[in-house]
Amino acid sequence: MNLQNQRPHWARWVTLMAVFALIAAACGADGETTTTAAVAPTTTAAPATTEAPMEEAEELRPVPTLRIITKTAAEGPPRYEQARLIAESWTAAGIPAEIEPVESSELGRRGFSVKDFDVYIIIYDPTTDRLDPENFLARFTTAKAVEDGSNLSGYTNPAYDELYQTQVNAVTFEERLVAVHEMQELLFDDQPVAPFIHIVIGGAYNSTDWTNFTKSVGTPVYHFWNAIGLTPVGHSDPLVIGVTSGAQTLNPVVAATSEAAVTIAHIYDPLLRIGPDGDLVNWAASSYSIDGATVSVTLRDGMTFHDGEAVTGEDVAFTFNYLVEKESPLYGGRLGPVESVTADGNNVEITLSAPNAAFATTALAQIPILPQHVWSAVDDPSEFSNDEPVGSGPFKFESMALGEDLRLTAHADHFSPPAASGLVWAVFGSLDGLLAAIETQEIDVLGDFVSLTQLSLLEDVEGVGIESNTGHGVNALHYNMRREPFCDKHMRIALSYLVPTEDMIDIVYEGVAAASQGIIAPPLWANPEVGPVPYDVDGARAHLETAGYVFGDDGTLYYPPSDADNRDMSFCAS
Amino acid sequence: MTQYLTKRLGVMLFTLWVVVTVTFFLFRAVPGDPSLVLIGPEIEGSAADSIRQSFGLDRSLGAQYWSYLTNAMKGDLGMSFRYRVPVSTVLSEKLANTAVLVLPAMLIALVLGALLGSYTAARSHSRLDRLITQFFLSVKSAPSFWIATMALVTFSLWLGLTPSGGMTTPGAPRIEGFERFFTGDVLSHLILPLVILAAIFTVEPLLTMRTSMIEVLNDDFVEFGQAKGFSRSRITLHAARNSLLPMVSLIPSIAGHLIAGSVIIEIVFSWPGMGREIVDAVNRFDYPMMQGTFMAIAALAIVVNALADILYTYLDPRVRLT
Repeated sequence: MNLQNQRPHWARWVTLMAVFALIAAACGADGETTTTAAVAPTTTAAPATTEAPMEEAEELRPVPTLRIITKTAAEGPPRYEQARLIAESWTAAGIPAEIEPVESSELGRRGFSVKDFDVYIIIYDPTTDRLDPENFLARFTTAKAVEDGSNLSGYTNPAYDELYQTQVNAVTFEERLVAVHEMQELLFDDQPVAPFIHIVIGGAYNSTDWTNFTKSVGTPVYHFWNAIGLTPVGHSDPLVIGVTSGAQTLNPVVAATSEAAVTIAHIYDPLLRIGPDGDLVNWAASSYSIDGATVSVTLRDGMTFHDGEAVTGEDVAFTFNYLVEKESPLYGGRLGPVESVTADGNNVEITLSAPNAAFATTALAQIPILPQHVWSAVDDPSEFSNDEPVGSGPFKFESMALGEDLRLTAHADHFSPPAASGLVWAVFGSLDGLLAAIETQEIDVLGDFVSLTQLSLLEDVEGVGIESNTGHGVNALHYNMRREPFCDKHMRIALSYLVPTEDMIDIVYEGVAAASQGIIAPPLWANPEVGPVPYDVDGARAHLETAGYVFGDDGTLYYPPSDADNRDMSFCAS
Repeated sequence: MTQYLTKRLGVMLFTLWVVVTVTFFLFRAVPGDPSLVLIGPEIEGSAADSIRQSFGLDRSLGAQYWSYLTNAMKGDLGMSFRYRVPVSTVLSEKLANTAVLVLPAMLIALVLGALLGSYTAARSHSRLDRLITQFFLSVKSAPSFWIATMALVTFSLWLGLTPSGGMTTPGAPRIEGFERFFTGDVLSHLILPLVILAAIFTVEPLLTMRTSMIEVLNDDFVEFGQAKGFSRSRITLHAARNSLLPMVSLIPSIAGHLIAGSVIIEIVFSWPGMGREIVDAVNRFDYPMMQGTFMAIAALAIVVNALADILYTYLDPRVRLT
């Protein structure tokens, strides 16, 4: 009798289960070693930088491979490239690191929502509201170190929070500047974030058919002042702006992206605007004054909405209350400091809960004035598509074809009417398509954020005007201080010393970018006394040795042994 | 016959339900939090919650599925996260734009394929036969983004003959309604992508027709015609009519292209159609839009398949199943 045929049927199942169990065990063990398991160093891994004799060596824990999460190479080539160069530099210096490319919404979830990352490489675009330091400084306060909060690093320093409050409530510019400078010092000393590059932002426009160009801080070409200022030469066509991502909603109450805010700002008027040189200029307000916690605004005379109704102080008061009540994602938070608003004719008085220096920039220059006669009837703004928005801005709505274009016409009765007959946002399939269209002059203004490097092919093209600005956005690394190696200040400083900024500028931006001194770009609010962090391998090693980290003979990096642990673990969120 | 019809249509409905269910759960299995796309990284805590609520993202998966299913039956595919208008509104608009590009391309492909297929079969293995089949095979085999980009660079940037993209000249006065597709402006934007798309689509009908024609040309009745002394063109005509049947079976596979087949062409030429919308929706995690587009494609393919099956039983009673 053949024994093989006698093998019971269930034997196959047992074998199969055993294989599965093995696989499961292997996966489990793999997960452990990278997180908590204590692995004894081999005998060759004797401490090299401490004098402890070999036989007394306790079991040292190796520092796990650090992971930088980034966009994928397809979605964000510059970001991916920079992450790769940083990881290479860290690894070469003996701190093992690798990159983990993820799809952008997953990147957002892990960074902004659940804070599941080691190091997060970010490119902060130079949006207009980042001209005020508030946007960046708030990202390191304890209040934002929560789930869904913008404090990615998890930096919680009471001294910093106090300074933040001081600058929020400062009344004079000088008073605020002192606090803002001190905050930058703290950020530099503690390195919760490693800012490394300010991108040079490029812009292109059709200089054959349009004159009266204004260069602005931030994006040099595509901004509000050119939308109303660019003057047609010998034709009366509307100004065509090419973008790859079109207007998504014209409803200011439910809008949630800065792209949406841009279009809204052309149809609706705010009380103030940020001028081409970065200063605040009066817009719908003919004057305003701030006295402690009281803000008094006087509206311009004779303003009308696109449907002919007059703009009154009542509309302003209504707007402020309405946006807070309906929890507008884009504007509600900006009105947080407001306690009450009262209107009397053209005069509006806003009472804040405490003095607030940034209020004019972050709120008065952003909040669109909504017509009360339209919105008072709208109970649930999310059910109201605002198909034909009625604002008081220099452009009025004409038509919109989703994903195709948005057309606005000039509002001739406006106090600052545009020179063009209208404005068109044309949506293109790709950036390449946009660049081709600006070359063939099918579009007049390039509407996407691009670095100057990306415009190099257009430089010699006749009739295309190119301008550039060192942006106030910043490329930076957020260290997740909620996790072990990054909670230590020495480790963070060492890592920052090893960021190869010059290489990245040369390789990724072809030499056209500025090394950043700090999270706040010069000139207005940056502290000239701090930064930049130089590329310094010895400096990095010195910091690791001060903290007590141990380099094994085989190149492995170990956490400090308990008797020589000089790590600085302050200010970490849990 | 009635029995066959009910059975075939029943299968069709069941397949549709499976597709709806699978797409619904598949998209939710993808990593990433859709509400974050909706909200944007600028928004903090409480506002984020209220947005999740207003889109029903705080409800359980089962509850979301049930309301999706019941609403879909009423033709309501939900609100697009990005546009904040009903998905069906966006779909119909994009579908019309795509149809303007793809339907003529298909028509051209079918007619051209049938003509060239019978022509090359009649002269099979001649130099011209090889030239024609090789040409269309190379067009089909080359990456379409490469062909499209090369054509764009040549005709638009170098020669300046065609616009660089879009459906209309940006800023040209808008024409509402159906007439908007029949302007010289649209035509000048259409010509380049249309020619490329038609060339890509032609290869299948061409080869199908050619093979089927070669087979028919070996049939007895052809030999009989030759013996009777019919002219070559008359024989080709007769053979061609008899070779057309397999072309019907091509229709369903081509119908799938109607929406999705032009994705790359639409992106390269910035054509505001369905293909580009699919990619945008995926990139931006616009769930309702993704589901809507995928369902539209699937529904179209399923319905056309069923119709082709039924049509086939009329044209060729031999395949009637019951």
